[in-house]
Amino acid sequence: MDDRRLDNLEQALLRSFRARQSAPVPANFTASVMREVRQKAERGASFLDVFSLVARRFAPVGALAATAVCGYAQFMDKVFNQAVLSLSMHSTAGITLAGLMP
Amino acid sequence: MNDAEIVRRVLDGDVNAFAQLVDAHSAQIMSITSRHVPQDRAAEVAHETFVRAFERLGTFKGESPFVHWLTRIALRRCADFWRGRAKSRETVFSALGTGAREWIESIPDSSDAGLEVHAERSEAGVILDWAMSQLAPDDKLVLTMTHMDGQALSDVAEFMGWSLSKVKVRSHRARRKLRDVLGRMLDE
Repeated sequence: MDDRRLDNLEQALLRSFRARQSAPVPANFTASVMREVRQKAERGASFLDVFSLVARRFAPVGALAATAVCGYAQFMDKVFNQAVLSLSMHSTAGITLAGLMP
Repeated sequence: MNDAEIVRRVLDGDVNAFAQLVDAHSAQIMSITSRHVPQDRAAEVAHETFVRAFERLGTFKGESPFVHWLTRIALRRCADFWRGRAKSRETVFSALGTGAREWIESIPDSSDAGLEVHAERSEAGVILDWAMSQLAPDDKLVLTMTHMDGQALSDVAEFMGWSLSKVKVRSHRARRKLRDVLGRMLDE
């Protein structure tokens, strides 16, 4: 490969690039962009409408369900603690627990 | 009304105000996309740039001019365009036809006299597009901005979101890769 020839090739391509004219903005460019932008805005808005409608509709049920689950978990926690305490205080349970100890 | 105020209006729900931003900056974005993607696809990439800008308008903080923010999006769209056309990099040079081969063979090997005439021929554009398409998208972008457009390295660093040293290194490497491609072309 001849370096001088390579330099010339590179220079010719560089000049070709610099001589390039920018493509003109199409006549309906803004209109076509705005058409798509409006569609996206409407889709975004309709999604938010549906989301807020569903949220409003199911918010009371959701809150009730969450309260019930929390209450149930607290209740079960108390029952479990009580059972462990009873077992450890009971004689047989004591033996059982003592048997488990090294 | 300046760009930041228009952006605020759009974010407040006045979608139609976005048309003012498109009108104000479409020529500049077209000039960028024209230089980074084939001319017949420049309008399409510019269109995608504005739609993407609208989708991400909430992330514009107003710390730099709106047009800089928009330029970064345009450059990313151009890089995405080339990523989507990665398969075209497999096109062999011989597929460009005998005109391109003749153009290459007519390049002088001594002085640079007559290079202007060579540069004006349509084959030059075709060969340049082919050679550039052999580079990775980021290499192509950085080489176009630094070596071909002659933009300041600090501007390129800002647009690419890179450090100054990374721009220098990538630009140097990209030019070397382009020369490798051109060298192979001459050897064929």
